[in-house]
Amino acid sequence: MSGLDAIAIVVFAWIFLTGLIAIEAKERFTSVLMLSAMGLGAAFLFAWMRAPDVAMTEAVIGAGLTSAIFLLVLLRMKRGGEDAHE
Amino acid sequence: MSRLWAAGIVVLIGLFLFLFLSDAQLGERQQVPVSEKMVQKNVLGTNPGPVIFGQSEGLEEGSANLVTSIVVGYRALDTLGEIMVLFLSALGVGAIAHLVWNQKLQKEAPSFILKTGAGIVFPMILVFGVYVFSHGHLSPGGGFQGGSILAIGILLLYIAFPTFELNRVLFQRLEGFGGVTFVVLGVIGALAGGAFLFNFLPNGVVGQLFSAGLIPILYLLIGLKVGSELGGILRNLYGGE
Repeated sequence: MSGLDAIAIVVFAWIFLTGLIAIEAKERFTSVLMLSAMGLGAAFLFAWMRAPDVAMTEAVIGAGLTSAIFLLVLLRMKRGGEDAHE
Repeated sequence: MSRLWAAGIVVLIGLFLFLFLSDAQLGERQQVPVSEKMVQKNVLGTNPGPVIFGQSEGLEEGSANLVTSIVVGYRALDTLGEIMVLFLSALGVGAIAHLVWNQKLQKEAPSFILKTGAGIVFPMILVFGVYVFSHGHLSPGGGFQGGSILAIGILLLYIAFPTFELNRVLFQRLEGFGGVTFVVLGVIGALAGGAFLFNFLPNGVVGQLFSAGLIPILYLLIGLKVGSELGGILRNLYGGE
C-alpha cells in the first residue's frame, strides 16, 4: 500500500465520520458544519481523481455557499432549534 | 390583453427552439441522428496533424480544457437548461423570501480583524473569480465556478459590514442581460451556422486567451449571470427586514 493510498483511506474515513456526525448530531448547527466538512473531503477526492473542475465546483458551492445559506436560514429560526411557527 | 401577447411570444419561442432542437439543418433534413455521428468520432477527429498547445490553429474545438469544450461547445444546449434551472430556483427564493423575514437576524458588530481583513481579501476574491471564468477554456474552472466565487465575495461583504446593501436593480439587470444575451448569441449561431448555439467565431490558436470562438464569451455571460443570481439569493436571505 503506497503512501497515496493511505491518504485516500484517511480521506474516505473523514467523509464517513463527518457524514455520521451530521446525521446523529443533536443540534442542527453541528449538522450544517459537518456537511461543509464532508464537502471538503469530497473536493479533495475529486482533485485526487484528476477532475479539477468538479473539485473546484464542489469546494465553492458545496463547502461554501450551501452551508452559508443553510446557516442564514437556521439563524432566523427561534432559539432552541424549533421551527418558526406562525 | 398583455397576457395574450406573453402567451403568443412564448409559443413563438417554443416553436423556434423546437425547430432547431431537431437534427435538421436549415433547409434540408438529415437522416442520421446526432448520437450516431458522435459514436464513430475520435477525439483528434478532423484536426490536421498533432495538437500542440500554443501552436495548433484552426482546430475543431479550439479550447484547451476538455470539460469546457463539452459543456459549452458540444452540449451548450444543456448548459442553457442548467441556467434556466438556476434562474427558477433564484426566482423561487425571491418569491418566498418575505416569509423568512419574520424572524429578525441578530447581526453582531464585526470584530476588527474581520473588518480590516475583508477590505483586503475582497478585491482578491473579485480578481480570482473573474480570472476563473475568463480563463475557462484554458485552465480548470469556468462560468459556474467563477460566478460562485463572486457570490462568496458578496457574502463576505455582507458579514463584515452591517450596513451593506446590495443594489437590487443593478444585479437584476446584470442577470437578465446575461441570460438574454446567451439566447441571442444562440439564435445568431443558428442563423449563421445552422444549429442553435453554433460556434460561429473563428477558433484561434489553442492556448491563447482570445481563442476557441464563442466559448469565452458564453462563459463570461454565464459567470455574470450566476454571480449576480447567487448574490441576489444571499440578499434575499440576509438583508431586508
